[in-house]
Amino acid sequence: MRWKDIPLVFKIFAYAFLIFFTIVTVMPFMYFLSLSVSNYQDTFKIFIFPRDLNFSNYQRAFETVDLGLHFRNSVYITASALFLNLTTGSMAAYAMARFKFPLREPIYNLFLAGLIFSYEALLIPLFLNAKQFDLLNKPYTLPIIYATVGLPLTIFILRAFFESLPTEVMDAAMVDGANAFQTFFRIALPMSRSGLVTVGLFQFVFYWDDFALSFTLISDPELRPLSSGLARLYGEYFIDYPVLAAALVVTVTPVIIVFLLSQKQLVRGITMGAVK
Amino acid sequence: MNPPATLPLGFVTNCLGQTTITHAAAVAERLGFDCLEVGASVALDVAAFRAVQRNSPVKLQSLIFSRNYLHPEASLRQAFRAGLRERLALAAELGIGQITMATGVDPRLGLAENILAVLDFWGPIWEAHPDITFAMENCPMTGNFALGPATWRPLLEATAQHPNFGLNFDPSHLIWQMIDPYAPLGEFAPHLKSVHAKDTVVWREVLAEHGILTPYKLAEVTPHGMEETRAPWWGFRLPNEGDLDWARWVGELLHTGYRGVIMIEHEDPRYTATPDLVEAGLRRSLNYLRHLLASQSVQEAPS
Repeated sequence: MRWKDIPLVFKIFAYAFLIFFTIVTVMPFMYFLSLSVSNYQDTFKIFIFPRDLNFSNYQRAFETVDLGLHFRNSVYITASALFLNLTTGSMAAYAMARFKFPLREPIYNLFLAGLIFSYEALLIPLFLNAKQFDLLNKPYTLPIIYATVGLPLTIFILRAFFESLPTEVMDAAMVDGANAFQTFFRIALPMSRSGLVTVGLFQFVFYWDDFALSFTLISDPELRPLSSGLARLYGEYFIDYPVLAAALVVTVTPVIIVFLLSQKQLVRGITMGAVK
Repeated sequence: MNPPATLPLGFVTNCLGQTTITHAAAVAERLGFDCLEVGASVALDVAAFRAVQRNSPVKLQSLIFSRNYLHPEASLRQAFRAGLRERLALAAELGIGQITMATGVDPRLGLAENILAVLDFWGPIWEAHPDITFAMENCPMTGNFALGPATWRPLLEATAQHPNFGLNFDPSHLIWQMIDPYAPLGEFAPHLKSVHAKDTVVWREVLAEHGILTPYKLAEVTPHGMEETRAPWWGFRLPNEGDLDWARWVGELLHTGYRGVIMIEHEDPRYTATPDLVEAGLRRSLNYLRHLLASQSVQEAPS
């Protein structure tokens, strides 16, 4: 059935449905965006639009917590975790997609089992392990743990991707004299770019937004990323909501920018993964 | 000569009335005090302050200037702030390490807005003077909103990035507000910059007849020269002559690890009529606290 054949009533219903959910999704963002330029007195009075434009909240947010430091930490942690996760994950996924070796499926299933656990359930064992390995409050703690916790998802999605690539292309590369590594880096990886972007985005959002792990494993404020670094603004007895909102805007903006930049790849990646 | 003091003891100069720093230091030296908290009734003569610093064994420990810096009336607010700036300059010039102050309060605003106003006004001052400690006295009359633990917590949390701001703990104000003067010492020990020694008596029989409110004008002129309205059922007293259990309070204080100064703030109306009476009041307070401290064995480490 084509779009123009759909009865008007259903079209109106579809649009109303979409508009409603757009509003529900966008409204909280609008609220804290306008809260970030509001006076404290208006915290619970504004709805979507601010009553005035008071940019001093941003200044105060940068003064109260070292947002620049936490931002650099976030960038470093996310980038290095992404690098670790994608290099190891894509190689593992490629091996499990292209090569036959003993216990391939059990190993793959073992990785898949990791998807069942929410990492919050692993928080305490992870903390104890990290303590035993002297991994608490180190600059490399979060990259290692994020990369590991993210492996099952990366392997799951990328294996499906590598399996969907036409075998002939890689066979041709082999015939032309490429070894397994060359085939992987020159042929398989470039061909599954949208898959990498999709996985990378999922992981990026998880790493950037994660609070529980970074709050539990890192107690040194100098090493904390934005998510847990901002916890200082969320006090037990006093919360300056507009300043908190300003800090949140600073935190969320990179995520939105990355999403906008990679939207096309993401949609392609999700649909390709879906049909395999 | 001063006997070896376990904690430095000083007094707030306000009880002397309008005077000079030279006279205040002379009184302190004669009575055997270690240090002074210099109030608004002392003329700000830099040369005289310098002479005292050079020649007197009495240390100029701190300045006290508690005014409502957030007063809704602009003219008053400006005057208070100008006075504060003078004292900031003096403290910076003479190397006086502490200013005892009030945060200020705007009664039209809520608690959180008042805290934000404090950050707006005081934040830059605290940052500009990292060598000066700012101690907020919990006095309800001079322009504070943080009068007890429930309001100290949010204020201290919001000002956590300013380590040179903390509390001047005065138990006398807590007594007639029915706030526990003992329990908060432990929790707020990390924020204690100094303490005031002053006592309050509650006349239970007057309270039983009057109740806590005084809806009519009942004003008294304090040694600050300020008019304050007070209910008739309580009054300030010299340490140990009111309702506070001083052995318990000083014991708790020492147990928290506090090793700062104890400033006697003499506002007992029975000892203010003549300069001799004022000195007698100071002497009584000093003797009592020396005796009490000596009996408390400060050297013992808190367990």
